[in-house]
Amino acid sequence: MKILCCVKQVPEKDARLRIAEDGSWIQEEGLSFAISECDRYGVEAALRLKESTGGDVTVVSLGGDRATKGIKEALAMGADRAIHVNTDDLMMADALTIAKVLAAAVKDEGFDVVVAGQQSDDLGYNAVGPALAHHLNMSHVQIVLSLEAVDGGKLRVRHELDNNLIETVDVPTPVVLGVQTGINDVRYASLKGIMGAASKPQVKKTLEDLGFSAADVASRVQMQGVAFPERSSQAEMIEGDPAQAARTLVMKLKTEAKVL
Amino acid sequence: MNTGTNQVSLDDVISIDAKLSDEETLVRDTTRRWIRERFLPGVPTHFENATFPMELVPEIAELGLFGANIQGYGCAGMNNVSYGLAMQELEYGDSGLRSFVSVQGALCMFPIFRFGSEEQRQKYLPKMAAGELIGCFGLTEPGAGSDPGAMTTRATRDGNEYVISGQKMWITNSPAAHLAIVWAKVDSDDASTIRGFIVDTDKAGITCPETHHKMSLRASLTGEIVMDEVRVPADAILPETKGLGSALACLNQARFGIAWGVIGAARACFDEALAYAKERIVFDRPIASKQLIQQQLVDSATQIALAQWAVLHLGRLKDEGKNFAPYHVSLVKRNNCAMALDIARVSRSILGGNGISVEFAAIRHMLNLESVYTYEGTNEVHTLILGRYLTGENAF
Ligand SMILES: Cc1cc2nc3c(=O)[nH]c(=O)nc-3n(C[C@H](O)[C@H](O)[C@H](O)COP(=O)(O)OP(=O)(O)OC[C@H]3O[C@@H](n4cnc5c(N)ncnc54)[C@H](O)[C@@H]3O)c2cc1C
Repeated sequence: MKILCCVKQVPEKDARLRIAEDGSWIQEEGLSFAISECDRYGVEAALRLKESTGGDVTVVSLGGDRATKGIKEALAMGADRAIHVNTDDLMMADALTIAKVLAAAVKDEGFDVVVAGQQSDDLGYNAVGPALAHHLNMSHVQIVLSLEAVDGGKLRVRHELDNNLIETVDVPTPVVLGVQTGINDVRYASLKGIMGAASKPQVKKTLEDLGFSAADVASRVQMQGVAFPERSSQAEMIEGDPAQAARTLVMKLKTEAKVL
Repeated sequence: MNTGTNQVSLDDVISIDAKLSDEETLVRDTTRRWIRERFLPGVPTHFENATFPMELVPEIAELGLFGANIQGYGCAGMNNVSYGLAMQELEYGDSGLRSFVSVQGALCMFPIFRFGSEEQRQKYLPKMAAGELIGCFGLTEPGAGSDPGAMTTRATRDGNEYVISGQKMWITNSPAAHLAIVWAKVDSDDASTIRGFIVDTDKAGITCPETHHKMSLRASLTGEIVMDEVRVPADAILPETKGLGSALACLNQARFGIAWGVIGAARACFDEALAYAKERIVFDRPIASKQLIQQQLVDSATQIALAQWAVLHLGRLKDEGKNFAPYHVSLVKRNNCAMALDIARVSRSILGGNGISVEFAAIRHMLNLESVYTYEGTNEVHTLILGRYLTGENAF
């Protein structure tokens, strides 16, 4: 299968964030950047799919020069080649615009499967994947928990629906999958892989190469400001039987306190 | 990459990422992630039980950490800055783990690479990189530590063989090793005849008893190499070794890694102390709000930052392959080990009573660093090396 995997470079997930002086975004100077959490699982999922079906994995990243680090990490983990849409201009763009540009960069490649993270750690739109499916004229599945190739060139995909329902569907390719965190054990890039990453095929494309003018990619969403959540020192009592309460606590430690 | 505690990272304090390549930060981040996910959860138990997590050796090999700065022979072939960063992350885990990797890479694979024949390289290096063969380095003896030229281990030529007798002690990894790089005087008492040998530890006449009762580097195996007329083929000698200087060249490789490594230990202590200080309420306020504690934290962060800058500079010089001399390595080994030991002690004290429990990292690092301070040239030995360089007077 020809697999594409989307990775975004975002501030390291535990970074201590400071708000920029004009209040419009965080101060990025001095921060470490890394592949966004969901995307990391996406790379692993893409590599496993390739290992079971054959084919190759291309990684695509849209971003400025710092995106090369994430690209090299994905290559070091085992991806075969990379496309870097090299621009600093779209970091705060809306999801539809990002998807439009990504689609333009990959549309002629004939990918069977596009693995994207469910959402990015920074902007968290939850929308680039579905919008990319729209632009590439593919179907899409969100909140993917597992995927495997089955007969007939289809993928068997487990994914979450509302109300805690889990659905298993066999989807035909081509398809865009938005994967959730925690769905697999992400491998470590080997140090040898890191040293070899730079020699794998990589193409850089600018917005100009892709035929976009500044007006074509003007964001339809403007960030007005960011703020830290209000701090409250309120204690929260978790109700329910012990097993359920423990599950809720673990969930809160993961998703709210982010200490797990 | 951050510490996982939502607190300021010393990487950001010194903006180190701005001076590293993509590859260098990836090596650091990958090693860091592995240490946190795979090594840290188990190390307190290994320290208490005085065991080394042998089960992790295949993973360490898979990552490519053994002999990582050697080119070819199945090694990762990375530059010295990447290598240093990896050592630092390993020692953030435990000095015992970094010792294991240092001994395998800098003290065993390096001499085979540097002083060995092509045949020896082919025979040993790929298997050592893969973690299938574990090595140890036998220089120190009961009567020869700081002055290894006083060693009494002898190799006597007998036809197509050498016969080696002697006792090595304080040898990291010897109880687990498949091979030992043994330093011995050949057919004489003169230090100029010291040569290195690759000795397979399953040879008749050799035993490697474990050294017990250690209060430091407990999560690391230490032992002796006792050799009683051990016969090795003549081609077990490392052909390019010439006197004690060859052994010291290996030590210099390892010392470079230690200078980076101990920064990891110091940072582990600092991260823990800072997090603790922000949480621990005493006299109604977190101790982090007290000036005396802030001073300790600031002094620690400053010393770590300066040490980090120093090794980065040195790593760049080593990568450029010029203007890099042994006394540079002595300077950072000496400074950084003492710095790390101080910070471990201060951090231990910030944790109060909790600081003496191995459930926290500080006391483990503090005890470990006593060994790191002493091995690979004691603090005094490096002082004398630098003193001789500065004054031209030999004070040994
Ligand atoms: C856990 C551990 C692991 C080790 N692993 C290895 C290993 O893998 N391979 C190996 O070969 N060795 C290993 N060593 C040995 C280590 O390198 C030696 O312990 C070290 O070199 C010091 O030698 P020594 O213990 O004989 O001390 P000594 O040389 O007896 O020194 C005692 C004291 O005298 C001081 N001193 C010595 N000479 C002078 C002088 N001229 N002027 C002033 N002060 C002086 C020293 O600094 C020290 O404070 C290990 C040691 C430890 C503790």
